[in-house]
Amino acid sequence: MAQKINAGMPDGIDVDETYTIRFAALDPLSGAPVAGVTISLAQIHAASVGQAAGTQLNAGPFIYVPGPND
Amino acid sequence: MAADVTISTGGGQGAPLDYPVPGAVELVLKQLKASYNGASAAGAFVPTVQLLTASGVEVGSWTASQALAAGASADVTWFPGVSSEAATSAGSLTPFYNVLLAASAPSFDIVGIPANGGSLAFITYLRSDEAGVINTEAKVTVNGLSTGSGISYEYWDSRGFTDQSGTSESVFGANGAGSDSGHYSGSWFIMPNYSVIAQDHQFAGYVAKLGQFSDTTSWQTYVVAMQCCIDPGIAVNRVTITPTTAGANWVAGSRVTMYLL
Repeated sequence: MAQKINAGMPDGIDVDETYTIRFAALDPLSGAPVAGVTISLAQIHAASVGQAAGTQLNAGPFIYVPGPND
Repeated sequence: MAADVTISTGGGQGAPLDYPVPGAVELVLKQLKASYNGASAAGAFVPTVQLLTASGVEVGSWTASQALAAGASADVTWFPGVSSEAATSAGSLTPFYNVLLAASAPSFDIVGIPANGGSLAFITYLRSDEAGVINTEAKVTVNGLSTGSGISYEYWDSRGFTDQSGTSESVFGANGAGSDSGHYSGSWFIMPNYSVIAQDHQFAGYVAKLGQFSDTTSWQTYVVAMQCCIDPGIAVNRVTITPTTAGANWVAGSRVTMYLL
């Protein structure tokens, strides 16, 4: 069973179309990417303050997850 | 009114995993989560979320509290209010900016500093590709402004050196390519009252440097002070840290961490 790790991030990070959010696996000493690591069920939970909604949020391997009111 | 949304991937894919924010989309991040499987990892790794600009420059990086050994797996959740340090480390803080270079880069450019704090605290660990051993120094530019554009810089250190002519400021040391292999210079400095620039020439930043350098004869530690004079109405929203020499780079392994206090 995978261990659970909680990590911190700043509050209120505002990102727009000029940015990429990257989930990475980095060498703890050099900061270089480590090969052979797989990532699944990556999830971004955010407040959408733009006009985009629904499938407009899809990009790369990420897809919008409809909520109960969709 | 902003709507909460969730965007997710399915099965496993090789790291790194990117979400390029689509056009016309603006998000305020609330929580990030991912399952890391290191069964085939080439070595130990730290689960990390990076924020990259359109040109690929890293402007933010948030790491898990621990490295995972090759073969290990973890479900990692990032959210505000949680320290990235060990859970038992009382008093630890979450950095606003924490970038460890995997490859050479010309600067650490900390942008989007919110005007809601009292002080900025920086911890640096630097080595440049400049030829000098101890002559290289980190330069700080505030808000991208040079002297005469609403800001001026003054600098002193314990060697009696004064510099008031720059368009950025030397604030702490950084080892150069001439220093011993693998040696970096550790420093810290604080900018107090960064969001309360209310009067002309208010003292807006100072530096205490504990720069330790390795040259051919000795280890050295000295203290400097930096003063940024900023016109009224200008709060610090950006800090750029570069090597002294134009065109020089920070090498891989250099790191800058900044906290909002």
